[in-house]
Amino acid sequence: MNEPDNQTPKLRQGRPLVALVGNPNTGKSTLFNRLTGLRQHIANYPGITVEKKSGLLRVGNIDVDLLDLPGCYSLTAVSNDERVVMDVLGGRRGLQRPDLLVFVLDATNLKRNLLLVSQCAELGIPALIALNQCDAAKRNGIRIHVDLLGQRLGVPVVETIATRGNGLEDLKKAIVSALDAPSVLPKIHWPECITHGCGLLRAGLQSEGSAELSQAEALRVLFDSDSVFTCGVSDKTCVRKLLDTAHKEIRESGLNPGSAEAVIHYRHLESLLDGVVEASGPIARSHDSIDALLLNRVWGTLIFLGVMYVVFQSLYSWAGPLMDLIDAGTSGAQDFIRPFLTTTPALQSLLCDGIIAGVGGVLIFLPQILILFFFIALLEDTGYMARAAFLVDKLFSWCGLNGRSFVPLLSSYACAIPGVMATRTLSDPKARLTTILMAPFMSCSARLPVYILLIGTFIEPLYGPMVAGAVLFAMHFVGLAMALPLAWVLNRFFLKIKPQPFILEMPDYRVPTLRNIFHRMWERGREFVLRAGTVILAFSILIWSLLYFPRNPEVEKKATESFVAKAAANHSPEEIQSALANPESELATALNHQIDSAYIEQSYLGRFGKAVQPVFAPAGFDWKITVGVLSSFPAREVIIATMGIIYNLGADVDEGSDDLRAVLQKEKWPSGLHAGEPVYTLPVVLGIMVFFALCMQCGATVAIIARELNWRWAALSFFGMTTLAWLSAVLIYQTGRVFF
Amino acid sequence: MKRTLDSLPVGSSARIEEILSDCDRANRMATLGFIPGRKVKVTRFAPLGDPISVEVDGQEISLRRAEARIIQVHQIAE
Repeated sequence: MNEPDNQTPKLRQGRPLVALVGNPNTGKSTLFNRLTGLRQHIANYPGITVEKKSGLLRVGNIDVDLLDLPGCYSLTAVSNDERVVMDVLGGRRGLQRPDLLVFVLDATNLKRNLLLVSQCAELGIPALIALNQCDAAKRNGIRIHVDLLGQRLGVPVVETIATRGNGLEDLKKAIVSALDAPSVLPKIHWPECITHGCGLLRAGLQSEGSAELSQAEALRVLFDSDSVFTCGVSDKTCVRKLLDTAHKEIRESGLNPGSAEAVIHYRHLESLLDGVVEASGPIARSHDSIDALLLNRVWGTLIFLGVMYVVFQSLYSWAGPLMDLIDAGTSGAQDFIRPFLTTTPALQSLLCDGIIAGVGGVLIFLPQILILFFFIALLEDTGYMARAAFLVDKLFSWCGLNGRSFVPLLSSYACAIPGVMATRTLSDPKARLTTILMAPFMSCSARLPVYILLIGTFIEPLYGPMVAGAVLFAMHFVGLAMALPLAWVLNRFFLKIKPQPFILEMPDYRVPTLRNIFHRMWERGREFVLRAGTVILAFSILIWSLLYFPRNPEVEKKATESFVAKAAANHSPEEIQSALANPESELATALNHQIDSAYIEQSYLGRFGKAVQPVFAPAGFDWKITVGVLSSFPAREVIIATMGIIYNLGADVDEGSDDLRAVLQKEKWPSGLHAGEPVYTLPVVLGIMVFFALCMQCGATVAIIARELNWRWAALSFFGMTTLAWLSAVLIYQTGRVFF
Repeated sequence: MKRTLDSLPVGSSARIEEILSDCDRANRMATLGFIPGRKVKVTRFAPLGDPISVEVDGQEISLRRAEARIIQVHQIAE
């Protein structure tokens, strides 16, 4: 066995750190889940949106910190995932260097999987190998001589079948004994021109005052100039000059600097695997015949559409009953608490309308998130997700997205929250960023009530159901039609991130395990509630307070006085007295609606709405529409209830309410330029709908974008979409005025 | 006949000759298995013509035509 060249973990303070390393689709995460159970912690790596999954592995009385590194094919630092792997393995940027690497290899494709192992050997970190998917290898007619492989690699090799939990105990034992008596992988023998090139880089950079490179880091920089950032070197121009000299020398020795690393590694691996892997006849791949159907031009497309229809329907419709249940639970809790706090109305409202409504507003997203991640886990674990991306990539590639953007964007038609979370499946940071920014443009189900109310009130009576249906249909494409060209512009001119080649490995089809699927659902649901949920709750309490305060009792008094004065025209004072004494009476309800309306007008948000109404005047919005629009920034569906309150109908109206529709149709400008004219003309109505289609009126989406990217992008997305929505509404109103 | 990987018809095989790109991109393609001397077979095109799917060293990989264009190949008979 080879001697390790870093300090032995026994001398280290605290728990030893073990990292799982491997290609994507090797079953690494399944193994991680099996080893740590639910003792996991998910966070982000500092300054980068790559998920850091760590957990506790307990073997007997020994505790080990287990880190699940992102899957990668090589140490080439193209994606953020790969950068993180380099940072961790190099112990850079304040990250702890692992004491032991457990390489999880896919036994069905050993050679390609070993390339990463061979690259990592340069780092001199003790290692062991978990040879996973041995069952699939056997089925494919591949025989691997495990002992011989271990001998050649100089480190222990354990056979595992992660999906079934086979070999777990052996692996745990191997981890403990490897921490006790570590062994490292043999380093490759590089040709003279390459070691010389490394020397050149190290000496050259040191004399320039840059950080000192290890041999391993020099190799990375030599073959991949992007690695300079992960190797702690800041001066790229200096590196460029040194690289040109080194590459020239490599070329003179008859090697191509672009492919030299892979060529040398694979040559080494071929001799290492000689006699280790035996394939009985040609390798029988299980997926060829299935692919012939699933990737077929006609059948493949139809099956794809069918699969996506089921995913969408389940989000759009089947989540409904669960969401209704949460809604009912929320109002049940409100109704239960309300009577206990009638003496303290502010506390009553805070608890019921602020906190309970806020918690309900967080939980309401859970059914869709859980259902979506059920399907994502299912599609990924079976191997279909890569095929789906292959089928539709062309639709998205022109604007900087890729085939993997499809599922997140489709889900965003139900709700942007699960849609944004689903972008985790995109490994290309640029495409992921663009997909996240485009997701809130998709017409989510919360916009539907607004469309139905306005189309039903103003378009259907004028133009009939055919046109109404067509407008409703068109509204669903306004966001998409805006988003895709916008994505193109963003990619072309603004996002200065290096584009990544869209290369997909077509994994073998596999039978998914329920255990894995439920783990994914649990993981995402928990993360949403704990991380995004708290922010969403804070938002809704903030908006509640802006709508509730200052709550001057004078408002109620004045509203009552004016109400009684008006009622006196039709009723005797005794009638009014007795009607108001009975809270169930028609008059009392009407009074309450009037008081609510007066309070909302006098609230901070109401005053703000009146103050900024001039901003929305070019779009033809009066102060009532403006307050409605402003109050629906935390969640757009709120507008219906706010409109109900503002128009003295109470909060219990819905988009089908005849009263609300009648009031809207009759609403006229009380004064000003348009005094006496109706407020809701066709251009105003269209403007409001397009405003809702394009505006980021969803606090939860802002919170989830901040969580997935950062607050800067969340703010940019919020202000960008709001500006765009305002511009479009103004444009429609001003153009429309010419014709109507 | 010398050509680039994106110009091969479905079902044809070729041997990889060189990767026509800067060192970084070439290195990435090479580590994925596209290394000179290896045989590559075009298995299918996506319904919209792009990306394409190829088989190299016993694994099936999908890549866009723009990326396949940097791989220079020599077409061979089956």
